[in-house]
Amino acid sequence: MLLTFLLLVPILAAISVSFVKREQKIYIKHIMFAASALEIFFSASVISQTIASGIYSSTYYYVDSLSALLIFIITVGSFSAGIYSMGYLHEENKKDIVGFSRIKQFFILLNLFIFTMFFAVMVSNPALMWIAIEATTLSTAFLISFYNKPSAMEAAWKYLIINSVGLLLGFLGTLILLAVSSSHLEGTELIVSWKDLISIGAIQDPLAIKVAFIFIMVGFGTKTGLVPMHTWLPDAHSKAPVPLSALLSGVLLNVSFFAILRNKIVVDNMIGSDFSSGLLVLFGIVSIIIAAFIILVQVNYKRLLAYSSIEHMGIIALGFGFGGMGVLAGLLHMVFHSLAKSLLFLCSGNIFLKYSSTKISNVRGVLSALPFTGILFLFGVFAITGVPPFGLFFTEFYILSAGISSYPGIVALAMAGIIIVFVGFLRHATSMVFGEVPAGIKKGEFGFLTTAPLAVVAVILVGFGLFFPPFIVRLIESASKLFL
Amino acid sequence: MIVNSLYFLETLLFITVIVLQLMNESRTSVMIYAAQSFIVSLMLIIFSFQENSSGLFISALAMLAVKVVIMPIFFFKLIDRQKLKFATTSYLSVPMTLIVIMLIVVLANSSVFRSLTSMPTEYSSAIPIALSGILASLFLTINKRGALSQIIGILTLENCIVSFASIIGLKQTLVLELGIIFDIFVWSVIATVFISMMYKHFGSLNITQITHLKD
Repeated sequence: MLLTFLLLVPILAAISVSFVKREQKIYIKHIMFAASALEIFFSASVISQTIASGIYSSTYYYVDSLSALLIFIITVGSFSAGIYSMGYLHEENKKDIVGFSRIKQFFILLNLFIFTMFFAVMVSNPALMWIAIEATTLSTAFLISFYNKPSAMEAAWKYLIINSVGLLLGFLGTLILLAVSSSHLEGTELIVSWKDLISIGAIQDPLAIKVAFIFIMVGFGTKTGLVPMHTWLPDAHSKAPVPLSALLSGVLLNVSFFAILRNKIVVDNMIGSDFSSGLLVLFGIVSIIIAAFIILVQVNYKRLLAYSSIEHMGIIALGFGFGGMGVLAGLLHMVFHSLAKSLLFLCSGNIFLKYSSTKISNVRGVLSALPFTGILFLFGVFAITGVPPFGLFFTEFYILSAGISSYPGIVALAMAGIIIVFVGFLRHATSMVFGEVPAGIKKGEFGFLTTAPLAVVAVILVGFGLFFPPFIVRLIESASKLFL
Repeated sequence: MIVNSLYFLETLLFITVIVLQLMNESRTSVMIYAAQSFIVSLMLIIFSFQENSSGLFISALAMLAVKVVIMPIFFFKLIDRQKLKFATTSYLSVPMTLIVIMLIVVLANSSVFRSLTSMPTEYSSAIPIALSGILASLFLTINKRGALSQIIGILTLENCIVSFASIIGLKQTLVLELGIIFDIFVWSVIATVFISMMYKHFGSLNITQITHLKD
């Protein structure tokens, strides 16, 4: 029941926003605040129940510790992006960039997007999960083209086409996996759930399963932004409104990766982990290296953050590919990356509002122009590049340690990539944060709604680096056991 | 009898993919897509009678309504409104396209996909054709320059995957079947709206001329 309530909240919020009239626009804020509060409440309840009872499984839902971890990531990401959106769009409204009807459209689609992400991680059926992930593409396509500019239209089209082809390949892989599995399940006439799939042990002919996993990896890997299927990601993330970019990078990529992980658990049970791990290591290292070099020469700070997401998805893929401690660190990395990337994108929103440009060369003296945002932006940069004591330092360290004995060459390459990213980020960030504020830029922050969500995310990010809440520890420990 | 009918329909489906590759006229492409969707619906109807499944029959009817009637009407309206008579030119020439399709057929019948083509099902003889259809429709999406033909390419890929799933004997609940059809329908509506918006912005649907992201 709790799961149904959690799914109903964003749906009801979207419906409620659609009834708001121009003269009642303050109600959009009330609806968003109420929706966020209810989502936090129901998510917390679902997470605590999952911790208490292990797995919640029914005809339509399958929530284990891995799903619960994703529910946590979605809730935090959608809370910060949802609240920030109100302040951000208010500022854009003041500048006459967007009108009331566009703002309304944004919140309707944003809530539908949040619903599809929750649904994807909760649903018991692999084909339903595919529908949910495909629905994330549909709900976000119009948000990417939100500003109705030619470049945004092009980015949205690219996003729609590349992801649709990718996801259809993922669907093909899912169907092959289900076809092979159903022949091993006695008494099952109709399509099976994750629970049934996990119960299948080793099978005789692994080749069809391998082909299925390749399609799944390419399909959902496209949505995760793994190289070479990543080409839509920097365009979509850089052209979308900033709060959506934060959700796409910080949350949606994790949800898509979750789809790979769910299938990996099933495939590993059937044919052992060598095959899926090898593929993850391959896609992971290529993603890190390609993203690292592009980050070094990047000229646009939103694209810089988008490529950083590709790099981090690569690192997470390496963690799950290496196995053992790498899995535990990979799960932690998902949490820390989500927080750090949300923080950075939200900061970049304030920077964009102030400087009206996404070019790194046009942004100087953020610390003077936006002192609070500037400090948090630096915080975010240190966190995302894995500087100690931030959590990503430890997760990267443990991921690389997990692979050092089996894949020393890959670990060396990954380390080189991470160092290049650090150098690139530091170069770009220092040029943006320090220096003289360009003439015509008024100093000062925008308002409570554009700063408070940043502070909340920053506090969680730093707090988790120093003290990890026991409930997250239990979730991660329990989720990592699924990969043993 | 049923095996032969399905083999015949699967072959027809594959032929429609080849014809779509060679077509340059938008209206004809949409009509071929409708014919192709009709073939897939017919396959599902045959399966529904064979398995005595009312759920499968309902989903086949839903597919017929959505893909054979509603979606082509959507596309025709779009073509008339935007005057998209010819919007489906290819990157590769016709001989090169045919050579690639031939290679795809060889690949689908090769040992690479032996694990799939030898799946234990009554209709295993049709699996290589179904697989060729999937790969050829993927190539169709990549090979076409026009936005409308990319959409038709993706919908063709979906049709081929549905026929493949039926042939390998994958049974699904009615809710799930309808969910997938609804998802594809919504996708088509969104893609059609995007095409209109893109035409308004760029004055063309040739994606090679849409290069604003390089700025």
